[in-house]
Amino acid sequence: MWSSYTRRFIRIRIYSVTKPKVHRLNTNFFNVKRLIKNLFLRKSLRLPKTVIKGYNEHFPATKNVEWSKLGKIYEVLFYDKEVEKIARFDKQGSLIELRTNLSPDSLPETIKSMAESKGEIMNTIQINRTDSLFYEIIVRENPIKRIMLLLNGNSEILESKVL
Amino acid sequence: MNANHYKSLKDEEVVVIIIKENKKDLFQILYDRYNRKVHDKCFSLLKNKELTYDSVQNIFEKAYEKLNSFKGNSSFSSWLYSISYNYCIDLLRVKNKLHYPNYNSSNEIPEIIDETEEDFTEINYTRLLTILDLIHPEEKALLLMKYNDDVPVNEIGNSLRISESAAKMRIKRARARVVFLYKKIYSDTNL
Repeated sequence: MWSSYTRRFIRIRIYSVTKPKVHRLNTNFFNVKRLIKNLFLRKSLRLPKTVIKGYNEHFPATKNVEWSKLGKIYEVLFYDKEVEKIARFDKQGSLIELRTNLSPDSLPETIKSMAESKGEIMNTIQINRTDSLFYEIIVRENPIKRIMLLLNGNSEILESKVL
Repeated sequence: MNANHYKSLKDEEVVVIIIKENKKDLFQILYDRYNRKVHDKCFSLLKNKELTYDSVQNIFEKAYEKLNSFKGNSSFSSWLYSISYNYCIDLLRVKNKLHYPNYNSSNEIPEIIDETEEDFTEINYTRLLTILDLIHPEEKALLLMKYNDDVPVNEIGNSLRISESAAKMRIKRARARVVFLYKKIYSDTNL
């Protein structure tokens, strides 16, 4: 979109404005109250009783539960035995998807080998849907190039996307 | 229209005029509004004045080049901040060989504290900043994007080159680490 001339122009303009300024470093740049409020105080969401019941049946002992609503779906992010999980429920309280954070060492060997053939494994999430199992794996080719792979339980790559 | 008129416009309106009317000079307005904020965000991650200075120039240049891709799904500031964090984290990944999985496995959180049992109403801000400097820069960037800059989760994922689900889980872990460290370091005093 922008010509090299324009880029040079902008760079010169930016430098011409900035260079003479002595910018005092400001370490207090956060919106203090908002940061603390957002970071530590939880928002509540009104949930249908069916959804609460469904959640409690599937996950009886969890910590730090955070609910959100995505369209007609209720999503909950929580800790279950020190592991991050994301579960999705419909309004009838049926569990429709569960995402579990995994360490690469917990992956089945064939899945791990397939992912490692594409790069170093940086993040692994197991996805359980009603009758199917998937793995969302992020690998890196170099320090700043990352690829997301979606594999099925048979180690087949269904999707590959540069992030 | 005179210069003062343009200066009174919202960020998103300025962007539309730059793109639709090809008034590239107006980018200076956005630069003037956000130069300092971007600078401070970069410095909070890079901790180096010279590197920060160069990074700010590169970030605005990158934002200028990508301006057409700004669709207004989030605010201009969130969009610009996600470019800023992306630039700084990429820089640190190359320069400092940042490797989050290694950090995470060698710094396991000994205990996930149940936040419902904690009283966070008296959190001390200076102490919180100290804790934010103790955690991995990627975790710090995640927390600031989510809780300070209101960057949408999908943009946070794009910014750190991770999926949306990974972003949500890492934000969760980063917060758990902050709560654990805060309690551990300041446990003998009031929060």
